Amino acid sequence: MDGVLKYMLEILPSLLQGTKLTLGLFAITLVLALPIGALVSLGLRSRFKPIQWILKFYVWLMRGTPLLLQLIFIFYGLPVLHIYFERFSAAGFAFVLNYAAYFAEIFRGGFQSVPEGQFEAARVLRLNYSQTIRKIVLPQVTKIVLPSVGNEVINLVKDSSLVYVIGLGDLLRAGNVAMVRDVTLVPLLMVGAIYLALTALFTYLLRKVEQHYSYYH
Amino acid sequence: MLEAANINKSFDGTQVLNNISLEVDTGKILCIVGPSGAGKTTLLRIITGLEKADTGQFKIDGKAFDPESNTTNEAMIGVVFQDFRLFPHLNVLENITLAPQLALHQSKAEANAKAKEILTQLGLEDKADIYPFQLSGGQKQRVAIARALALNPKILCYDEPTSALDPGLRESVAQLIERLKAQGMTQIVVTHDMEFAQNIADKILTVKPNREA
Repeated sequence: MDGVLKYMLEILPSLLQGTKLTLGLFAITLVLALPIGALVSLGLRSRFKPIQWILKFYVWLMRGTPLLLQLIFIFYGLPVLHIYFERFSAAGFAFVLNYAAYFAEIFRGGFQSVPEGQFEAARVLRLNYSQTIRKIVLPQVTKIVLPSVGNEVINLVKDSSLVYVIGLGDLLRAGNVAMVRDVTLVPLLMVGAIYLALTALFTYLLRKVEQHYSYYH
Repeated sequence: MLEAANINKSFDGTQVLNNISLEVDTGKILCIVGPSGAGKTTLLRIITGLEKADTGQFKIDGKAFDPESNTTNEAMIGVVFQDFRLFPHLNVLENITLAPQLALHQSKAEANAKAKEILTQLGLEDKADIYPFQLSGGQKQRVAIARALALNPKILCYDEPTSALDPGLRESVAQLIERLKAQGMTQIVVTHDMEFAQNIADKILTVKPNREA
């Protein structure tokens, strides 16, 4: 038993190193994909048809193909066209593009559930479009989309493990390396425990944010 | 004084408003009555710029204006919607002060002071910090009126102000409208409630449903 504990402590630093990369990718994706998704969803509602078509195509492409394929394409495929990404940037690029598409669809639903009357009320109060979106619509949309966004946030924690395919040392890869080297399942159990701890933490934080918005209904 | 002439409006080939003209003198109350489906609300939506008329000339105090593109603070027309349309995520005070700050560029302190004055006038002084879902229908309506008044409109329009309220509140809405009239506010009230209209109106415009409809 002591041996197992000692072994766990031994490999923990490399797992935490992997966790750092996982969290880094997670943070970048969330910080960029959320606002991009919100903007895309506004574009999807645009009366200017070409914008709608382009964005619909983008969402279709991103949701219609596996994230793993997109990741491989960006890192191994784009260099054929002389577009080169460093590993982590490739991962960030793929994840932001992919998640922004999902967020756009979530936000689109959110915008649709804000009654037209709110837009009209803002209009007769002489608010312009950007004031209406920022002060009236987005706060209400945020409350509406929180549960769905939360789902994607949890997915993102786990999806980040896909970056092993382009040789990035994330949490899962760190566990895998230790498992293959030491011929034991312990690293994988630890990896599982760390993922669970992370999702528990984010679930808790999301619940807090939802509570923050529960001051009205 | 508001003058509107020769307003025509059709939706998908069905004429809803057929050459309507109206006039309200400053400080007076015009009631627009008629059965449901006659186009009363459409007429109000045109005057308030939410709908574009097919034809029509509009003047406020003798000056022509286009309600639909009127984004300046001149010739302001305020609206109290039938379903109030308060902003659910803002408290009563914020509902009232948001537009004066954003559209009239008032400072927060200035907007707050004015809003509190209006709230007191409407008997809502203790409601400033609560949210719309905590208000009764009648209180929501008064907040909606306060929100419209905060922009210093020249004309205040109501869409069916009695229909979303308990019948008992009809009288108090009438009193409130009378009180604003006493302060010089020009008001246009769309209602299907003929008795209510006769009670408060200086002038009644009857909109008839189109024969084809």
